[in-house]
Amino acid sequence: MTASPTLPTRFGSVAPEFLEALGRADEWRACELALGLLDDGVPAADVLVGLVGPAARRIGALWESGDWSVAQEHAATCVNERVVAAIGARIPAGGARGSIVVGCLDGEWHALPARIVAEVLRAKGWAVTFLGASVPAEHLASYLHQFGPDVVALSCALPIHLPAAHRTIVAAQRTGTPVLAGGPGFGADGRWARSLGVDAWAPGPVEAAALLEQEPWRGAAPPASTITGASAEYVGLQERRGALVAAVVDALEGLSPFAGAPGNPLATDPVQDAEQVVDFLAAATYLSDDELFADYLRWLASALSSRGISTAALHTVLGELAAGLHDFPFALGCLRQGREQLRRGHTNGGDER
Amino acid sequence: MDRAATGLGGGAVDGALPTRYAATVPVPATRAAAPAAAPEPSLAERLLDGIAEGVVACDERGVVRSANEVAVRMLPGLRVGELATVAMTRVVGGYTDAATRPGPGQDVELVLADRAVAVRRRALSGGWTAWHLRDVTEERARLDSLLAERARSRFLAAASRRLGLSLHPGRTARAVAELAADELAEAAVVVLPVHGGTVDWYRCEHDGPSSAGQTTARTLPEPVARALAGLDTGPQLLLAGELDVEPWRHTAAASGAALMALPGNGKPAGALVLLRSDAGDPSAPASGATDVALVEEFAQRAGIALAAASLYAGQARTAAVLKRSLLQPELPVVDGVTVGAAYRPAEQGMLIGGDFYDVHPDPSGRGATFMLGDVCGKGVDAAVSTGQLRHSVQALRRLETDPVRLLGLLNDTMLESTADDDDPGFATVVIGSAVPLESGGLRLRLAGGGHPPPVLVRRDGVETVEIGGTLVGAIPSARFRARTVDLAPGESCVLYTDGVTEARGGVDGREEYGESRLVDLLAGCHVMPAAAIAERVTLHASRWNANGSRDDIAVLVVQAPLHATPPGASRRHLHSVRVSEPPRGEEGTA
Repeated sequence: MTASPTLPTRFGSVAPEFLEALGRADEWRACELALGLLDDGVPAADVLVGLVGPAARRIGALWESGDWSVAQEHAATCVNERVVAAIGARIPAGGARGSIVVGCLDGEWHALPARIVAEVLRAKGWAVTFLGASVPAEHLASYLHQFGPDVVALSCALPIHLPAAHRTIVAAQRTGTPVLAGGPGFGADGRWARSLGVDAWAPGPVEAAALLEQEPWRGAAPPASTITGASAEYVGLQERRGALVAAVVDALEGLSPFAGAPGNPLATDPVQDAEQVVDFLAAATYLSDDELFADYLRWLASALSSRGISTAALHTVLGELAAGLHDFPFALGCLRQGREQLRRGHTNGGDER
Repeated sequence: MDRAATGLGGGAVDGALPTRYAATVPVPATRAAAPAAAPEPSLAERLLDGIAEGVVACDERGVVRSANEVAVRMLPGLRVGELATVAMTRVVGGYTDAATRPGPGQDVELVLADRAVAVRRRALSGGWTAWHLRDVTEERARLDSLLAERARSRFLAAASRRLGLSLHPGRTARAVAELAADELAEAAVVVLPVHGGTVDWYRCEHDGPSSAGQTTARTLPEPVARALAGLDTGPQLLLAGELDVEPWRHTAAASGAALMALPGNGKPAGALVLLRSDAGDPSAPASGATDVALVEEFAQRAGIALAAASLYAGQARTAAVLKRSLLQPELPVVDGVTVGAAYRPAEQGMLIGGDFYDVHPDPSGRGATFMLGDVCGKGVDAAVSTGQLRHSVQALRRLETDPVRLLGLLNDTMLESTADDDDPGFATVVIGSAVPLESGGLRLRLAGGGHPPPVLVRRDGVETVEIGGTLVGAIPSARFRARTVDLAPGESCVLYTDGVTEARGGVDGREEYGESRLVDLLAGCHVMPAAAIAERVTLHASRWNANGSRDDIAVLVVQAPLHATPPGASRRHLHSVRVSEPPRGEEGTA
């Protein structure tokens, strides 16, 4: 697809100016640059995958490193979405290959990756309907009953949404529609997608397009999920969620576990930040995979250290949660491992994400 | 039984065994003295003849040395004194190594012309082998029919499960074709009822690909057309000559076809054509009778599923048409004003609710009238009220452009349209007008009726605009007020419904999101495009409301453009976020 050797250099010259335009929220210039590539004969799918996608990842990295404010990140993402829409308007309506519904899982608000997938698939000749961010399971099911697409593609950026994702996946499969999962939320190698019993998993838009071309997608029984429902420990954790969050907020005297210098974009609200830690623990418990929580802590530790924020508060949080979960063996294991990891993390800086 | 032929033809090879009877007692060579010690050898023989099991003894070289009466009856042609392999070749009609190899082995089952015999081999001393034969013909037949019945039930259960999944006619028809092709035929075709002169068909090959298409009703083979019309619904055989075009085309494996209507509500929900190798063959195996029963049973279930899907599709189509007018509008492109909106209804299966917004460009081409509001209630009832209210405003704004007087007219209209015995359908609304200023900013006139105060996102901070006013549509003497504010380029006015500020969350799940959190959230957002601000507010309120029941959420952001639009350029393509929208021409929007 990206056979032309001139492509990387072409993107290389446009990409910095494109990112700069996104940073200024200059919708006009950003669109002009992207559409200019189309005018030069670069296929739409290549512009999406080679320019828009990398820019989105760069935006995330700039936010994470503290170089961009939240508002700037939001603005750039919004303009980037407009660029996708503008490119999409240049893609002729397809549909010969079959129909696909693309959407984000319930609670998942990062719509850009899914939107890029939608446009790439459309450029490959599929009739695509994009349902947008955070599609509730009921809404998806009624849509699938109504329009009967060949495949539904679901995107998840954060593993925190996996318990809700499971409900959506089951709801989609119960309409007889095969589910294609994608996005880093399902794990770098898609293992959580497999635990939840999706029909197929693809790491990115190009792989998704290739997969859809080769798979017969004949509606046989989907692969069995290894997670059949919420474990007793997950249910217990959900019941105790409010109390745990309250204990954490109390222990930190009303500060966020990620609090540092003012303007630190990691810390939003003490309650919501505490909830995030508890929810990652809950997701790990739901999937019975302690690596999920360990991954999260690794990312968090590296994000905190890149801003020079101490992990001491996070350490306190894990201790507080362990005290409140003394009869939850799996969660305790995750927390013990996490504290050990943080202690070791002081010596070797994380390089995750 | 031919006792003489089998029994007497043998004779003891080593002279150790009596040969007077067809069946003789097998005695290991090492214990050759034992029979001699028995008072009457024929007693053991007679005893063995009397049992239901066949018993055969072979010596160390594999020669049959003895066989009781039952064994000879079970394996006609077995002769004492012959090599077992030779005898068995004759008996079974082929070499059966497992049964005749010298020495003990695993149990085997011999399938003869009309019976099945289970053979268990046991080592005797001296290298001899005893065979114990059991007639399992009936047992086998019972088991076979049980397994067949089980397979049928399993197929029907799997079919029911799969057919119950989708409510989409096309997907259901495809599932029917796939199930039928997997179990009942070399290939299966499902035809849906005639609709507007055409029919949709779905074909699937056995373990192969599936296809779908459309054909005109006129080209349907006569029997298929009759079945779809409900004239001839029973199972019937079709001649190969009738089926020579798509989608009925034959493969080498399928030489005939069977057709049956799939019973629906009153008339057939479709027709099923099974392309088979044995169909039409009068000498088809006896299982054909149950096969027909299975196909009929499957057709019943398929028909029910297709009928339910078509019923649902009809209802859904009606609902979609009615719902279209209640969906939140696509935002128009207004010269000199940037707008962005986000909407999240409480009832998740639907896209409609009691919150609403609307933006109407001024006929002059510069500026716009906008509104955002919340009628009491949730779900469909509230959505219908929002539709009426929006239409009222759309009509009234042709007579009155001043937001305060417009609210007054709206109040009167709503009171008049409410029947005396009906609950008053009141609402909270903000209606505003936006007029671009020469300086590049925007002048807003905001009129409110009992609505949460709009928030201004300014370059140097965030402020709320208290407007006041009473509910709209509740009392005749309602009072409405207005405020005028100016926005500099890049600054925004954020209108929202109480679904944002009254979202419940926090530590105990009962804490309201509140105005102060909203103000904090919007601090520093003046650089963001209007749509991003709207999404940000919706996102945070929804996240706050992670658990429990939520209210409808609507957010409308009116912004003074930061970047002037390059002259002569159409901004249209920047806003066409509809993925299905075809590219537009470049002529402007005026």
